[in-house]
Amino acid sequence: MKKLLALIALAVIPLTATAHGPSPQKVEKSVTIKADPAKVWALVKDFGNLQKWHPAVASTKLETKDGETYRLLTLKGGGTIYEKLRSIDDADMKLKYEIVEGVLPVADYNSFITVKAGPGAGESTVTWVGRFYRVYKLNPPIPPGQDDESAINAVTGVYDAGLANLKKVAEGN
Amino acid sequence: MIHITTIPQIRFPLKPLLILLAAFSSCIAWSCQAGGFAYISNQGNNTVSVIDLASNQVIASIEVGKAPVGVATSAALGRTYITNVDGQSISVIDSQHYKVLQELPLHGSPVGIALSPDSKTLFVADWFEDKILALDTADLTQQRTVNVGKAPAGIIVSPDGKQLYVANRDSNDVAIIDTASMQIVKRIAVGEHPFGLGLSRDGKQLYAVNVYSNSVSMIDTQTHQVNTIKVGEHPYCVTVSTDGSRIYVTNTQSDNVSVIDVAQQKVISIVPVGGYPEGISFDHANQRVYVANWFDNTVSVIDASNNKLVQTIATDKQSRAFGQFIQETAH
Repeated sequence: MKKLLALIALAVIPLTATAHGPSPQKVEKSVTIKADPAKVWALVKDFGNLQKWHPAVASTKLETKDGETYRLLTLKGGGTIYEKLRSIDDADMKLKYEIVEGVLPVADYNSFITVKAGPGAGESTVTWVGRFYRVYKLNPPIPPGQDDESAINAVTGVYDAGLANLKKVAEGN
Repeated sequence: MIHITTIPQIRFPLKPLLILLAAFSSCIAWSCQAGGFAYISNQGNNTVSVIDLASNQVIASIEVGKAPVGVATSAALGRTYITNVDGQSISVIDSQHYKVLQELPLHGSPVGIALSPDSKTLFVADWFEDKILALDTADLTQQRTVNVGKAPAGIIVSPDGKQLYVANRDSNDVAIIDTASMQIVKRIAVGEHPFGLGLSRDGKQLYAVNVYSNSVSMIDTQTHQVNTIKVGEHPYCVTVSTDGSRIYVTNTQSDNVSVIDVAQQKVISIVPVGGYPEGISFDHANQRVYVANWFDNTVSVIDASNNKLVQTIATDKQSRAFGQFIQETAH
Protein backbone atom coordinates (compact mmCIF):
# COMPACT_ATOMS: atom_id res chain seq x y z
CA MET A 1 0.00 0.00 0.00
CA LYS A 2 2.67 2.48 1.06
CA LYS A 3 4.59 1.72 -2.08
CA LEU A 4 1.47 2.12 -4.16
CA LEU A 5 0.61 5.46 -2.68
CA ALA A 6 4.16 6.60 -3.28
CA LEU A 7 3.77 5.71 -6.94
CA ILE A 8 0.77 7.96 -7.24
CA ALA A 9 1.97 11.49 -7.68
CA LEU A 10 0.49 14.01 -5.29
CA ALA A 11 0.02 16.89 -7.67
CA VAL A 12 -3.20 16.82 -9.64
CA ILE A 13 -2.39 16.46 -13.31
CA PRO A 14 -5.33 17.48 -15.44
CA LEU A 15 -5.94 15.33 -18.49
CA THR A 16 -7.11 17.49 -21.28
CA ALA A 17 -7.98 16.71 -24.86
CA THR A 18 -4.66 17.95 -26.18
CA ALA A 19 -1.55 16.21 -27.44
CA HIS A 20 -0.20 13.29 -25.51
CA GLY A 21 3.04 11.40 -26.01
CA PRO A 22 3.22 9.49 -29.25
CA SER A 23 3.85 6.02 -27.79
CA PRO A 24 1.00 4.36 -25.90
CA GLN A 25 1.98 2.24 -22.93
CA LYS A 26 0.36 -0.95 -21.77
CA VAL A 27 -0.18 -2.75 -18.49
CA GLU A 28 -1.98 -6.08 -18.27
CA LYS A 29 -2.42 -7.91 -14.98
CA SER A 30 -4.40 -11.03 -14.10
CA VAL A 31 -5.40 -12.88 -10.96
CA THR A 32 -7.09 -16.22 -10.38
CA ILE A 33 -9.78 -16.10 -7.72
CA LYS A 34 -11.35 -19.07 -6.00
CA ALA A 35 -14.87 -17.73 -6.30
CA ASP A 36 -17.75 -17.98 -8.69
CA PRO A 37 -17.45 -15.64 -11.73
CA ALA A 38 -20.90 -14.16 -11.06
CA LYS A 39 -19.83 -13.16 -7.57
CA VAL A 40 -16.57 -11.63 -8.76
CA TRP A 41 -18.29 -9.81 -11.62
CA ALA A 42 -20.83 -8.33 -9.19
CA LEU A 43 -17.92 -6.69 -7.32
CA VAL A 44 -16.12 -5.54 -10.47
CA LYS A 45 -19.16 -4.05 -12.21
CA ASP A 46 -20.17 -2.06 -9.14
CA PHE A 47 -18.67 1.14 -10.57
CA GLY A 48 -19.79 3.28 -7.63
CA ASN A 49 -18.16 1.18 -4.93
CA LEU A 50 -14.50 0.69 -5.79
CA GLN A 51 -13.59 1.18 -2.11
CA LYS A 52 -15.17 -2.23 -1.46
CA TRP A 53 -12.24 -3.96 -3.08
CA HIS A 54 -9.47 -1.50 -3.96
CA PRO A 55 -7.22 -0.89 -0.93
CA ALA A 56 -6.01 2.53 -2.09
CA VAL A 57 -9.53 3.95 -2.38
CA ALA A 58 -11.13 5.57 0.67
CA SER A 59 -14.45 6.45 -0.93
CA THR A 60 -16.28 6.53 -4.27
CA LYS A 61 -18.81 9.16 -5.26
CA LEU A 62 -20.99 8.26 -8.22
CA GLU A 63 -22.53 10.92 -10.43
CA THR A 64 -24.36 11.25 -13.72
CA LYS A 65 -23.77 14.09 -16.18
CA ASP A 66 -25.43 14.40 -19.58
CA GLY A 67 -26.44 10.76 -19.42
CA GLU A 68 -22.88 9.61 -18.72
CA THR A 69 -21.73 7.96 -15.49
CA TYR A 70 -18.69 9.20 -13.58
CA ARG A 71 -17.05 8.40 -10.27
CA LEU A 72 -14.81 10.47 -8.05
CA LEU A 73 -12.33 8.30 -6.18
CA THR A 74 -10.84 9.74 -3.03
CA LEU A 75 -7.61 7.98 -2.23
CA LYS A 76 -6.39 6.99 1.23
CA GLY A 77 -3.09 8.69 0.58
CA GLY A 78 -4.79 11.92 -0.48
CA GLY A 79 -5.78 13.13 -3.90
CA THR A 80 -8.60 12.11 -6.18
CA ILE A 81 -9.15 10.43 -9.52
CA TYR A 82 -12.17 11.32 -11.66
CA GLU A 83 -13.25 8.51 -13.98
CA LYS A 84 -15.86 8.01 -16.67
CA LEU A 85 -17.70 4.74 -17.18
CA ARG A 86 -17.54 3.68 -20.83
CA SER A 87 -19.58 0.48 -20.77
CA ILE A 88 -20.67 -2.48 -18.68
CA ASP A 89 -21.14 -5.66 -20.67
CA ASP A 90 -22.80 -8.38 -18.56
CA ALA A 91 -22.64 -11.01 -21.32
CA ASP A 92 -18.85 -10.70 -21.69
CA MET A 93 -18.35 -9.60 -18.06
CA LYS A 94 -16.33 -6.62 -19.25
CA LEU A 95 -16.25 -3.12 -17.78
CA LYS A 96 -14.63 -0.24 -19.66
CA TYR A 97 -13.71 3.10 -18.14
CA GLU A 98 -11.33 6.00 -18.61
CA ILE A 99 -9.66 8.59 -16.42
CA VAL A 100 -10.85 12.16 -16.89
CA GLU A 101 -8.35 13.64 -14.47
CA GLY A 102 -6.51 12.71 -11.34
CA VAL A 103 -3.30 12.05 -9.46
CA LEU A 104 -2.03 9.12 -11.53
CA PRO A 105 0.95 10.27 -13.62
CA VAL A 106 -0.69 9.20 -16.89
CA ALA A 107 -2.41 10.82 -19.87
CA ASP A 108 -5.22 9.58 -22.11
CA TYR A 109 -5.77 6.53 -19.92
CA ASN A 110 -8.37 3.98 -20.92
CA SER A 111 -8.92 0.62 -19.38
CA PHE A 112 -11.05 -2.48 -19.14
CA ILE A 113 -11.54 -5.25 -16.61
CA THR A 114 -12.83 -8.67 -17.61
CA VAL A 115 -13.98 -11.63 -15.54
CA LYS A 116 -13.76 -15.08 -17.08
CA ALA A 117 -14.67 -18.50 -15.71
CA GLY A 118 -11.78 -20.82 -14.88
CA PRO A 119 -9.15 -22.14 -15.00
CA GLY A 120 -10.65 -24.52 -12.39
CA ALA A 121 -14.29 -25.21 -11.58
CA GLY A 122 -15.77 -22.45 -9.43
CA GLU A 123 -12.79 -20.19 -10.19
CA SER A 124 -12.54 -16.84 -11.92
CA THR A 125 -9.79 -15.10 -13.80
CA VAL A 126 -9.83 -11.33 -13.62
CA THR A 127 -7.77 -9.35 -16.13
CA TRP A 128 -7.18 -5.62 -15.84
CA VAL A 129 -5.80 -3.86 -18.89
CA GLY A 130 -4.73 -0.27 -19.37
CA ARG A 131 -3.56 1.74 -22.34
CA PHE A 132 -2.22 5.20 -21.61
CA TYR A 133 0.53 7.71 -22.29
CA ARG A 134 3.15 9.39 -20.17
CA VAL A 135 2.33 12.85 -18.82
CA TYR A 136 5.10 14.77 -20.55
CA LYS A 137 4.02 15.83 -23.98
CA LEU A 138 7.14 17.25 -25.56
CA ASN A 139 10.52 16.19 -26.83
CA PRO A 140 13.18 14.91 -24.41
CA PRO A 141 14.54 15.64 -21.89
CA ILE A 142 11.56 14.31 -19.99
CA PRO A 143 11.16 15.59 -16.42
CA PRO A 144 11.38 12.95 -13.70
CA GLY A 145 8.01 11.50 -12.74
CA GLN A 146 6.46 12.32 -16.11
CA ASP A 147 8.12 9.62 -18.21
CA ASP A 148 6.88 6.28 -19.53
CA GLU A 149 8.38 4.36 -16.63
CA SER A 150 6.60 6.47 -13.98
CA ALA A 151 3.29 5.98 -15.77
CA ILE A 152 3.78 2.21 -16.10
CA ASN A 153 4.90 1.84 -12.47
CA ALA A 154 1.92 3.75 -11.13
CA VAL A 155 -0.63 1.79 -13.16
CA THR A 156 1.08 -1.51 -12.32
CA GLY A 157 0.90 -0.58 -8.64
CA VAL A 158 -2.82 0.21 -8.86
CA TYR A 159 -3.60 -3.05 -10.67
CA ASP A 160 -1.45 -5.32 -8.47
CA ALA A 161 -2.83 -3.93 -5.21
CA GLY A 162 -6.39 -3.92 -6.54
CA LEU A 163 -6.39 -7.43 -7.90
CA ALA A 164 -4.72 -8.88 -4.80
CA ASN A 165 -7.37 -7.33 -2.58
CA LEU A 166 -10.21 -8.22 -4.95
CA LYS A 167 -9.11 -11.82 -4.54
CA LYS A 168 -9.17 -11.46 -0.75
CA VAL A 169 -12.59 -9.85 -0.70
CA ALA A 170 -14.15 -12.28 -3.18
CA GLU A 171 -12.72 -15.32 -1.43
CA GLY A 172 -13.74 -13.93 1.94
CA ASN A 173 -16.82 -16.07 2.47
CA MET B 1 42.57 -8.90 -79.96
CA ILE B 2 39.23 -7.13 -79.82
CA HIS B 3 38.53 -4.33 -82.20
CA ILE B 4 36.47 -1.46 -80.98
CA THR B 5 34.34 -1.73 -84.09
CA THR B 6 33.13 -5.18 -83.11
CA ILE B 7 31.36 -3.91 -80.01
CA PRO B 8 28.31 -2.43 -81.73
CA GLN B 9 27.96 -5.71 -83.58
CA ILE B 10 27.84 -7.61 -80.32
CA ARG B 11 25.60 -5.08 -78.57
CA PHE B 12 23.01 -5.12 -81.29
CA PRO B 13 21.80 -8.73 -81.00
CA LEU B 14 22.07 -8.46 -77.20
CA LYS B 15 19.30 -5.88 -76.93
CA PRO B 16 16.30 -8.14 -77.68
CA LEU B 17 17.85 -10.81 -75.48
CA LEU B 18 18.10 -8.38 -72.55
CA ILE B 19 14.50 -7.31 -73.00
CA LEU B 20 13.45 -10.94 -73.01
CA LEU B 21 15.51 -11.64 -69.89
CA ALA B 22 14.07 -8.62 -68.09
CA ALA B 23 10.52 -9.70 -68.90
CA PHE B 24 11.27 -13.23 -67.82
CA SER B 25 12.82 -12.26 -64.49
CA SER B 26 10.01 -9.87 -63.59
CA CYS B 27 7.58 -12.68 -64.38
CA ILE B 28 9.37 -14.92 -61.94
CA ALA B 29 9.46 -12.20 -59.34
CA TRP B 30 5.75 -11.64 -59.75
CA SER B 31 4.71 -15.26 -59.53
CA CYS B 32 6.98 -16.04 -56.59
CA GLN B 33 6.10 -12.97 -54.54
CA ALA B 34 2.47 -12.28 -55.36
CA GLY B 35 1.23 -9.51 -53.12
CA GLY B 36 4.60 -8.52 -51.81
CA PHE B 37 5.45 -7.89 -48.18
CA ALA B 38 4.04 -6.21 -45.10
CA TYR B 39 6.38 -4.27 -42.81
CA ILE B 40 4.97 -4.18 -39.29
CA SER B 41 6.50 -1.82 -36.73
CA ASN B 42 6.53 -3.23 -33.20
CA GLN B 43 6.70 -0.44 -30.65
CA GLY B 44 7.25 -2.69 -27.61
CA ASN B 45 10.50 -4.32 -28.62
CA ASN B 46 11.79 -1.96 -31.32
CA THR B 47 11.54 -4.29 -34.28
CA VAL B 48 9.91 -4.54 -37.69
CA SER B 49 8.29 -7.86 -38.65
CA VAL B 50 8.36 -8.65 -42.36
CA ILE B 51 5.37 -10.72 -43.52
CA ASP B 52 5.50 -12.49 -46.88
CA LEU B 53 1.99 -11.96 -48.18
CA ALA B 54 2.13 -15.06 -50.38
CA SER B 55 2.52 -17.34 -47.36
CA ASN B 56 1.42 -15.00 -44.54
CA GLN B 57 4.56 -15.99 -42.66
CA VAL B 58 6.88 -13.67 -40.78
CA ILE B 59 10.12 -14.12 -42.71
CA ALA B 60 12.28 -11.58 -40.89
CA SER B 61 12.44 -9.50 -37.73
CA ILE B 62 14.57 -6.39 -38.03
CA GLU B 63 15.85 -4.32 -35.12
CA VAL B 64 15.18 -0.62 -35.58
CA GLY B 65 15.21 2.50 -33.36
CA LYS B 66 13.20 3.16 -30.19
CA ALA B 67 9.39 2.93 -30.39
CA PRO B 68 8.91 2.45 -34.13
CA VAL B 69 5.52 3.58 -35.44
CA GLY B 70 5.29 4.85 -39.03
CA VAL B 71 6.04 2.82 -42.15
CA ALA B 72 6.62 3.84 -45.77
CA THR B 73 7.91 1.38 -48.32
CA SER B 74 9.01 1.41 -51.96
CA ALA B 75 9.54 -1.60 -54.21
CA ALA B 76 11.20 0.67 -56.77
CA LEU B 77 13.86 1.72 -54.27
CA GLY B 78 13.99 -1.59 -52.43
CA ARG B 79 13.68 0.45 -49.23
CA THR B 80 11.41 0.65 -46.23
CA TYR B 81 11.48 3.69 -43.97
CA ILE B 82 10.44 3.50 -40.31
CA THR B 83 9.84 6.42 -37.95
CA ASN B 84 11.18 5.79 -34.45
CA VAL B 85 9.30 8.32 -32.40
CA ASP B 86 11.12 7.86 -29.09
CA GLY B 87 14.41 7.23 -30.86
CA GLN B 88 13.91 10.50 -32.75
CA SER B 89 15.15 8.90 -35.95
CA ILE B 90 14.28 7.14 -39.18
CA SER B 91 15.50 3.60 -39.85
CA VAL B 92 16.24 2.90 -43.50
CA ILE B 93 15.76 -0.78 -44.30
CA ASP B 94 17.13 -2.57 -47.34
CA SER B 95 14.00 -4.53 -48.16
CA GLN B 96 15.84 -7.08 -50.27
CA HIS B 97 18.15 -8.13 -47.47
CA TYR B 98 16.04 -7.14 -44.44
CA LYS B 99 18.89 -5.10 -43.06
CA VAL B 100 19.00 -1.62 -41.60
CA LEU B 101 21.26 0.50 -43.77
CA GLN B 102 21.06 3.64 -41.69
CA GLU B 103 19.41 5.21 -38.67
CA LEU B 104 18.98 8.84 -39.56
CA PRO B 105 18.70 11.08 -36.47
CA LEU B 106 16.09 13.84 -36.54
CA HIS B 107 15.68 16.77 -34.24
CA GLY B 108 12.02 16.14 -33.43
CA SER B 109 9.69 13.18 -32.93
CA PRO B 110 8.69 11.57 -36.24
CA VAL B 111 5.37 9.71 -36.46
CA GLY B 112 3.62 9.82 -39.84
CA ILE B 113 5.64 8.95 -42.94
CA ALA B 114 4.84 8.66 -46.65
CA LEU B 115 6.62 8.43 -49.99
CA SER B 116 5.83 10.32 -53.16
CA PRO B 117 4.57 7.98 -55.94
CA ASP B 118 7.88 8.34 -57.79
CA SER B 119 9.72 7.41 -54.55
CA LYS B 120 11.91 10.50 -54.87
CA THR B 121 10.62 12.28 -51.78
CA LEU B 122 10.06 10.98 -48.28
CA PHE B 123 7.66 13.02 -46.16
CA VAL B 124 7.84 12.84 -42.38
CA ALA B 125 5.45 14.38 -39.84
CA ASP B 126 7.01 15.75 -36.69
CA TRP B 127 4.52 15.25 -33.86
CA PHE B 128 5.80 17.83 -31.41
CA GLU B 129 7.40 20.42 -33.64
CA ASP B 130 4.29 20.76 -35.81
CA LYS B 131 6.09 20.52 -39.11
CA ILE B 132 6.52 18.32 -42.14
CA LEU B 133 9.91 17.37 -43.50
CA ALA B 134 10.48 16.48 -47.15
CA LEU B 135 13.62 14.39 -47.60
CA ASP B 136 15.27 13.56 -50.89
CA THR B 137 15.48 9.74 -50.93
CA ALA B 138 18.65 9.94 -53.02
CA ASP B 139 20.28 12.09 -50.33
CA LEU B 140 18.45 12.13 -47.02
CA THR B 141 20.44 15.11 -45.80
CA GLN B 142 18.57 17.22 -48.38
CA GLN B 143 15.55 18.34 -46.39
CA ARG B 144 12.82 20.91 -46.86
CA THR B 145 10.24 21.77 -44.19
CA VAL B 146 6.83 23.37 -43.79
CA ASN B 147 5.07 24.27 -40.56
CA VAL B 148 1.57 22.82 -40.31
CA GLY B 149 -1.14 22.49 -37.66
CA LYS B 150 -0.76 20.98 -34.21
CA ALA B 151 0.44 17.39 -33.81
CA PRO B 152 0.56 16.32 -37.47
CA ALA B 153 -0.18 12.60 -37.61
CA GLY B 154 -1.19 10.71 -40.77
CA ILE B 155 0.19 11.92 -44.10
CA ILE B 156 -0.41 10.74 -47.66
CA VAL B 157 0.62 11.95 -51.14
CA SER B 158 -1.72 12.40 -54.13
CA PRO B 159 -1.17 9.97 -57.06
CA ASP B 160 0.32 12.77 -59.19
CA GLY B 161 2.71 13.64 -56.38
CA LYS B 162 1.68 17.29 -56.38
CA GLN B 163 -0.15 17.39 -53.08
CA LEU B 164 0.54 16.12 -49.61
CA TYR B 165 -2.36 15.68 -47.20
CA VAL B 166 -1.68 16.05 -43.48
CA ALA B 167 -4.01 15.17 -40.59
CA ASN B 168 -3.39 17.82 -37.94
CA ARG B 169 -4.59 15.92 -34.92
CA ASP B 170 -4.83 18.74 -32.44
CA SER B 171 -6.06 21.33 -34.95
CA ASN B 172 -8.93 19.11 -36.13
CA ASP B 173 -8.19 19.71 -39.79
CA VAL B 174 -6.47 18.31 -42.83
CA ALA B 175 -3.85 20.48 -44.52
CA ILE B 176 -3.15 20.30 -48.24
CA ILE B 177 0.46 21.08 -49.03
CA ASP B 178 1.83 21.85 -52.46
CA THR B 179 4.84 19.54 -52.62
CA ALA B 180 6.77 21.69 -55.12
CA SER B 181 6.66 24.88 -53.04
CA MET B 182 6.12 23.18 -49.64
CA GLN B 183 3.37 25.68 -48.87
CA ILE B 184 -0.02 25.04 -47.31
CA VAL B 185 -2.66 25.67 -49.98
CA LYS B 186 -5.73 24.82 -47.93
CA ARG B 187 -6.91 23.56 -44.57
CA ILE B 188 -10.12 21.54 -44.38
CA ALA B 189 -11.98 21.19 -41.08
CA VAL B 190 -12.75 17.59 -40.14
CA GLY B 191 -13.83 15.85 -36.91
CA GLU B 192 -12.07 15.80 -33.55
CA HIS B 193 -8.51 14.43 -33.51
CA PRO B 194 -7.91 13.24 -37.06
CA PHE B 195 -5.17 10.61 -37.00
CA GLY B 196 -4.96 8.21 -39.96
CA LEU B 197 -5.50 9.18 -43.60
CA GLY B 198 -6.49 7.10 -46.62
CA LEU B 199 -6.74 7.99 -50.30
CA SER B 200 -8.47 6.24 -53.19
CA ARG B 201 -6.09 5.08 -55.91
CA ASP B 202 -7.49 7.66 -58.33
CA GLY B 203 -6.84 10.35 -55.73
CA LYS B 204 -10.44 11.60 -55.76
CA GLN B 205 -11.50 10.60 -52.27
CA LEU B 206 -9.54 11.35 -49.15
CA TYR B 207 -10.46 9.86 -45.76
CA ALA B 208 -9.53 11.18 -42.33
CA VAL B 209 -10.20 9.13 -39.20
CA ASN B 210 -11.45 11.22 -36.26
CA VAL B 211 -10.36 9.53 -33.05
CA TYR B 212 -12.49 11.53 -30.60
CA SER B 213 -15.54 11.86 -32.86
CA ASN B 214 -15.66 8.11 -33.60
CA SER B 215 -16.07 8.96 -37.27
CA VAL B 216 -14.46 9.17 -40.68
CA SER B 217 -14.49 12.34 -42.78
CA MET B 218 -14.85 11.60 -46.50
CA ILE B 219 -13.30 14.48 -48.41
CA ASP B 220 -13.81 15.08 -52.12
CA THR B 221 -10.34 16.21 -53.21
CA GLN B 222 -11.76 18.32 -56.09
CA THR B 223 -14.57 20.18 -54.31
CA HIS B 224 -13.27 19.73 -50.72
CA GLN B 225 -16.78 18.84 -49.65
CA VAL B 226 -16.79 16.73 -46.48
CA ASN B 227 -19.22 13.97 -45.49
CA THR B 228 -18.99 12.19 -42.16
CA ILE B 229 -19.67 8.55 -41.29
CA LYS B 230 -19.85 7.13 -37.76
CA VAL B 231 -17.63 4.16 -36.99
CA GLY B 232 -16.60 2.30 -33.80
CA GLU B 233 -14.86 3.51 -30.65
CA HIS B 234 -11.62 5.47 -30.85
CA PRO B 235 -10.90 4.77 -34.52
CA TYR B 236 -7.34 5.24 -35.76
CA CYS B 237 -6.58 4.30 -39.34
CA VAL B 238 -8.20 3.67 -42.71
CA THR B 239 -7.39 1.89 -45.96
CA VAL B 240 -9.17 1.92 -49.33
CA SER B 241 -10.04 -1.03 -51.60
CA THR B 242 -8.57 -1.31 -55.10
CA ASP B 243 -11.60 0.17 -56.88
CA GLY B 244 -12.27 2.68 -54.12
CA SER B 245 -15.75 1.34 -53.40
CA ARG B 246 -14.97 0.36 -49.82
CA ILE B 247 -12.94 1.63 -46.91
CA TYR B 248 -11.82 -0.24 -43.81
CA VAL B 249 -11.36 1.52 -40.45
CA THR B 250 -9.66 0.22 -37.30
CA ASN B 251 -11.59 0.88 -34.09
CA THR B 252 -8.96 0.71 -31.37
CA GLN B 253 -11.37 0.50 -28.46
CA SER B 254 -13.93 -1.82 -30.07
CA ASP B 255 -11.31 -4.33 -31.27
CA ASN B 256 -12.80 -4.47 -34.75
CA VAL B 257 -12.74 -3.07 -38.27
CA SER B 258 -15.66 -1.15 -39.79
CA VAL B 259 -16.18 -1.87 -43.49
CA ILE B 260 -17.86 1.06 -45.23
CA ASP B 261 -19.53 1.13 -48.61
CA VAL B 262 -18.44 4.48 -50.03
CA ALA B 263 -21.37 4.99 -52.43
CA GLN B 264 -23.95 4.21 -49.75
CA GLN B 265 -21.90 6.01 -47.09
CA LYS B 266 -22.69 3.38 -44.53
CA VAL B 267 -21.07 0.63 -42.50
CA ILE B 268 -21.87 -2.68 -44.19
CA SER B 269 -19.83 -5.01 -41.99
CA ILE B 270 -17.96 -5.08 -38.69
CA VAL B 271 -15.08 -7.54 -38.54
CA PRO B 272 -13.72 -8.55 -35.11
CA VAL B 273 -9.90 -8.49 -35.08
CA GLY B 274 -7.27 -8.43 -32.30
CA GLY B 275 -7.01 -6.03 -29.37
CA TYR B 276 -6.46 -2.31 -30.04
CA PRO B 277 -6.12 -2.53 -33.83
CA GLU B 278 -4.09 0.38 -35.25
CA GLY B 279 -2.44 0.29 -38.69
CA ILE B 280 -4.36 -1.10 -41.67
CA SER B 281 -3.36 -1.62 -45.32
CA PHE B 282 -4.96 -3.12 -48.40
CA ASP B 283 -3.15 -5.88 -50.31
CA HIS B 284 -4.29 -5.18 -53.87
CA ALA B 285 -2.68 -8.30 -55.37
CA ASN B 286 -4.53 -10.72 -53.10
CA GLN B 287 -7.54 -8.59 -52.13
CA ARG B 288 -6.88 -8.85 -48.44
CA VAL B 289 -6.74 -6.37 -45.59
CA TYR B 290 -3.93 -6.47 -43.03
CA VAL B 291 -4.47 -5.04 -39.54
CA ALA B 292 -1.81 -4.55 -36.85
CA ASN B 293 -3.15 -5.32 -33.36
CA TRP B 294 -1.26 -3.30 -30.75
CA PHE B 295 -2.55 -5.16 -27.74
CA ASP B 296 -2.37 -8.73 -29.06
CA ASN B 297 1.03 -8.47 -30.79
CA THR B 298 -0.50 -9.85 -33.97
CA VAL B 299 -1.64 -8.99 -37.48
CA SER B 300 -5.18 -9.91 -38.57
CA VAL B 301 -5.83 -10.82 -42.20
CA ILE B 302 -9.29 -10.09 -43.62
CA ASP B 303 -10.56 -11.51 -46.92
CA ALA B 304 -11.94 -8.47 -48.73
CA SER B 305 -14.32 -10.59 -50.84
CA ASN B 306 -16.42 -11.61 -47.84
CA ASN B 307 -15.09 -9.46 -44.97
CA LYS B 308 -14.13 -12.50 -42.91
CA LEU B 309 -11.11 -12.81 -40.69
CA VAL B 310 -9.03 -15.52 -42.36
CA GLN B 311 -5.78 -15.53 -40.41
CA THR B 312 -3.98 -14.14 -37.39
CA ILE B 313 -0.21 -13.81 -37.62
CA ALA B 314 1.95 -13.49 -34.50
CA THR B 315 4.32 -10.53 -34.83
CA ASP B 316 6.20 -8.78 -32.02
CA LYS B 317 5.31 -6.56 -29.09
CA GLN B 318 2.78 -3.77 -29.61
CA SER B 319 2.42 -3.79 -33.39
CA ARG B 320 1.40 -0.41 -34.82
CA ALA B 321 2.23 -0.25 -38.55
CA PHE B 322 1.08 3.33 -39.05
CA GLY B 323 0.97 4.19 -42.75
CA GLN B 324 0.97 2.28 -46.00
CA PHE B 325 2.98 -0.69 -44.82
CA ILE B 326 2.52 -3.08 -47.76
CA GLN B 327 5.24 -3.18 -50.40
CA GLU B 328 3.74 -4.41 -53.63
CA THR B 329 6.11 -6.35 -55.81
CA ALA B 330 7.32 -4.36 -58.81
CA HIS B 331 6.29 -5.93 -62.07
